[in-house]
Amino acid sequence: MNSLASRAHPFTTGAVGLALIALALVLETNRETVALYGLTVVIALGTGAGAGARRGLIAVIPIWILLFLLQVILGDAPRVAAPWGGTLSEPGLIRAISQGSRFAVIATASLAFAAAFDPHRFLQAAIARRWSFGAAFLVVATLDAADRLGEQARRLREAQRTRGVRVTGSLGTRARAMPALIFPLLLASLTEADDRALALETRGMMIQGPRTVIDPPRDSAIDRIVRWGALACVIAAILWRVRH
Amino acid sequence: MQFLVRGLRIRYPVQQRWAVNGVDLEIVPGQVTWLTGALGSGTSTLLLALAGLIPRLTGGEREGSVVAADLDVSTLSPLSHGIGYLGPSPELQISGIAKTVRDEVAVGPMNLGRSREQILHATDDALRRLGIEHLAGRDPGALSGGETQRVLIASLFAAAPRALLLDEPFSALDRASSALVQDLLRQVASEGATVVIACDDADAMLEIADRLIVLRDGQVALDGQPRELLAGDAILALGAGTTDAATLAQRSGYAAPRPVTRAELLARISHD
Repeated sequence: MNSLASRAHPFTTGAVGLALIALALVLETNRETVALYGLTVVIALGTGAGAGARRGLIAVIPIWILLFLLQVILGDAPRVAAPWGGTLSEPGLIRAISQGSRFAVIATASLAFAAAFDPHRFLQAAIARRWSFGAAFLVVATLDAADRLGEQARRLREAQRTRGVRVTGSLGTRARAMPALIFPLLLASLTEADDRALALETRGMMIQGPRTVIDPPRDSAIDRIVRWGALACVIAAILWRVRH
Repeated sequence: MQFLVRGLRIRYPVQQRWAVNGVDLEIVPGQVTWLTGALGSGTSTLLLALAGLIPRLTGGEREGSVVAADLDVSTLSPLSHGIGYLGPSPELQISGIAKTVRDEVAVGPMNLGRSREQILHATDDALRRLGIEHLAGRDPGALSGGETQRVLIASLFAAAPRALLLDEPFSALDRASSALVQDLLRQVASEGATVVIACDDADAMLEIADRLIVLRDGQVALDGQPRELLAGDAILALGAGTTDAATLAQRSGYAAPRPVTRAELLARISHD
């Protein structure tokens, strides 16, 4: 709770994350997107959201491999000699780097935001700003759903393992275990949705009307500058892209 | 808060059978009312109906009426009208919007728009009453089942509802925590709250219940004073279960009315 990302106003981390994702979609050349990925990693590590950078890297490695296969190995001519023999697609390599770094920025920024996200502070900030509680709660519930699904999957994996299903080992073994994990996970999620709806209703989440701000997060001048700066960067990138 | 149940029938979606089938009841404030019955007898469904959550959240069909404080409960948001409900699966009832137990306990009063001072006071008071001050800074998603149950009960207390509807509130609790919660429920009832508990733990409920309602196939089969009903044969015939002492007395050949507590059973054995 002491990292810069968790101390910052929740809207600031959200604004920076959204700005990085927007820039990843706006910027065009390889140099720009690779630099943006570097910047994203530096921001994540520098603000204490390094877990997001690590998870982002793990998430994009399969995408990078797929891009390399489809774009670089199987890509169009002209082809250049590969260091290990054979040939590689030159335009495919450019596209793979561009797309791969875009995906990396999106994954890293999203997961770093999720790593630093505190639902209570976010809702307190939203209530303090008189934002729609329903919309703010949707953000919180979406991020919470990923955690819950992960926890449910972990429990199911352990349950199936104790019943003798082999859930670890080679890719083939894991693939064979998938039906035994996916169907119970889907059923459990559907059942849980009813119970969750009930819980939210009984905890007063559906009440229309004003809510109380107990401990609103501090919105410092630096937070505001960072948010406006992030917006300015996105606008500048869009204008630059339109002109060129 | 008084509940008036008239001709209540409830059927879940795609079910032919009525889970609650013609219930007429009056539940009064200042008492602990205990609902029990064999599995599938309709106690949880009746509790959901009292909270106004069925069929609004579950789907299905409802006939008859449930009126609380002169309003049909199916039109109410339960907490904002002073009805606190606690379901049977503690781990699924954590709000997901709190990073600490203190924030979790404050969720109800925060959603009710109470003043900041009231919320802080009610939260601290609820944590203290449930003996969980030491959990205040913990992540509510990383607690044991019993701890989660106590946090959820504290959340109910923090919202200070006029009616508490609890489904198996002692299921995840150890004996000491269960005794603590029993005392608290007894206390809020004596202060004027309406407490309705669906529970099959006869030993726990005997200590606190003023009234026992036994359901069978969605209908009220028995309604009366807990001690009298637990000592008789009818409750056993309904498959609802009784206290450990009464069960032991029955197996030992004692005829009804049987002793219902361990002390009474020992006294009877000594006497005989």
